[in-house]
Amino acid sequence: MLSWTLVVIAAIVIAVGQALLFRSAWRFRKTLADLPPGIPRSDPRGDIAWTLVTALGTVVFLVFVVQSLL
Amino acid sequence: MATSFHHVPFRRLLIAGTISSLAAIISGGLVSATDSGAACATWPLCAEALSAPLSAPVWLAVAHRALVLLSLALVLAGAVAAWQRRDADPWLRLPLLVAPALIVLLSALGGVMVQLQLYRLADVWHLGLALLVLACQVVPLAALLQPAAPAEVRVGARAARDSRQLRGMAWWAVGGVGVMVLAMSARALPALGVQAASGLPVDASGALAISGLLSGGTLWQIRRSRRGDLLLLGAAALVCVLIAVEGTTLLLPATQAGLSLGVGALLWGAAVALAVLVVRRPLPADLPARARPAPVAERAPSLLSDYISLTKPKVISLLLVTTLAAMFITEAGTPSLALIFWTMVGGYLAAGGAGAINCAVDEDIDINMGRTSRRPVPSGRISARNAMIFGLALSALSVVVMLAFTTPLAALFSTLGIVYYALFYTRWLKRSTWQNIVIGGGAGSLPPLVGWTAVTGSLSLAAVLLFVIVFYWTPPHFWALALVKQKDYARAGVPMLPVVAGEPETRWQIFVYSAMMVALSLLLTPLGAMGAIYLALAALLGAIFMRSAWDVWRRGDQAAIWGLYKYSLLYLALLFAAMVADRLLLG
Repeated sequence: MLSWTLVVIAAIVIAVGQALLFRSAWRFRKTLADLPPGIPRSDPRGDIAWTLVTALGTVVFLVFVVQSLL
Repeated sequence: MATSFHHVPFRRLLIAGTISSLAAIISGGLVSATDSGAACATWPLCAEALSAPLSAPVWLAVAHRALVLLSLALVLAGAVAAWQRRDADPWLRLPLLVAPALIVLLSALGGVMVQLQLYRLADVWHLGLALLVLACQVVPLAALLQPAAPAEVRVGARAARDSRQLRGMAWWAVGGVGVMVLAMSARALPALGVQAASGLPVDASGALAISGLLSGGTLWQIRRSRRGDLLLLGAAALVCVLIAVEGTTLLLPATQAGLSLGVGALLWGAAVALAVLVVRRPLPADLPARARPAPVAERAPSLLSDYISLTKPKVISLLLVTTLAAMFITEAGTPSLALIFWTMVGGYLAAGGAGAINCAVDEDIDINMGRTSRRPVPSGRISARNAMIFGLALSALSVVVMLAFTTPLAALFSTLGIVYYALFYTRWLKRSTWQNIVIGGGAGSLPPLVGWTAVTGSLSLAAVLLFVIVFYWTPPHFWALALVKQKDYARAGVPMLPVVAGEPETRWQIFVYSAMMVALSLLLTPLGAMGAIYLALAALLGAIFMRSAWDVWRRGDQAAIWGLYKYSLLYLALLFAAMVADRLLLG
């Protein structure tokens, strides 16, 4: 019971956290156009891709955790 | 006086002592390879030699004991000569005075081997003492043939630094060759467990590679700094050739590993003689005069401390804590001390090598940041090229150490960490995206996997979770620092999140990442890897972390940010300590 409670809490925190981070990365596509001089502007699609890679990697890990409890 | 040793009879005595020690080692190798030790069941005399007919094993054992006896006599004669000349050169006198104690110990160990029939187990230590006795003959002989350079000769600072480096390298090579000769001999031990008990690397090829690297480095350094010294170049080349020849004896069956001792003993003697020559040969005369010493207040750090600082020891210490803790919490139980030692050495070399490469590549960034502008490369004390060579050498050495002494998977993760940090993060991520810290965090998350796989040789879900925890820990930790140093990062042109997206966005993302990290850290208990002690401590440490992250998000002042930065360091160390405590207390 405790195990499942901890996994569910972690899953909710990860889901909400990653959703918020994805929203930020999406928002940055346009708002980060004006950067201080000398600062390279990153590719917005690349930034979103990195955010997705992190989120997907964590989700896959959580799936394995759940599978190990079943 | 030193000249009192320069008599022909004394020189002959040393040559005879060296040859007899070599012969004793080679005969001992033959005894070991042919398993003849048991042919003489009594000690120190061999009663079997008086019975007829004499077998070959008895002959070998008797010949070996006779040669050891001859060595003992010659060593004692040398010691008496040294004792009588109290004001002689210490390089001649001290080894000769130490040698009798070593050879007596060696003979006694030989007696123990025969009486208790521990032929295999004590073999390696017997050989180790024999090599030391040989060194005690070679050092004075080399010192006698090469008088010390006059102390009053003054050379330039660079030449003095090169000379120090060369000396250090030559003595490290001696150590490497010694371990290699012992490891090659230990191949004959009958079982892996017995080999491990000898305290030597099980994989002799790894020891061979390390001594090859160290001796090759010595040759390279001689070629660089003593180009015209043909004697040194020749001696260093001879050592490298002998290592190559010794390497071919790996093709022998393990049971005949003692046969390689002939080459091994010659190699050991040559390496010791080379180190003595390196110390005593005069520096080339055409070097510039020594520069006037700088005033104490302006004195720069020593070259050694500069090179050590290239490895970023403070950063590495936390990485090694996670590696060490991971080694203790696997399902395989407590690791051996030898495995811990070599994993730590390999881990330091890998992280240090990657750090040095980072210093070489980031010269343009570091020079624009107050925090890093005094590092050796931006301040000009070490060139970027030398830092790169140093980093690559450490990295190569780390691969050899990890492969030789841990597991292939640990070596793979260690190498991956170097490539990830030095190439992927430093060369590309850091300069191209505000996600640099998030994705770059993967490099710092690999050390727990190195520790885990060094013990188990395989991965598990719990090991991956350790990686994930450190991965999510990285953004709050480094963004706290970036918030404080954001002007530096802006001046250096690094697109850190505070520079690109501003302070409020960074503070908020710190809180989000902190929450995810704390939630994930609790999952080790559901996975069955940890128990109640860890869960309670992780929850407590996590609650404090969330409180600090909350302060950063809501207040955002320097005190809160510094507080989180410092606590995050403590948090990671304590979290992994909690894992070890849980495993040790609850099993």
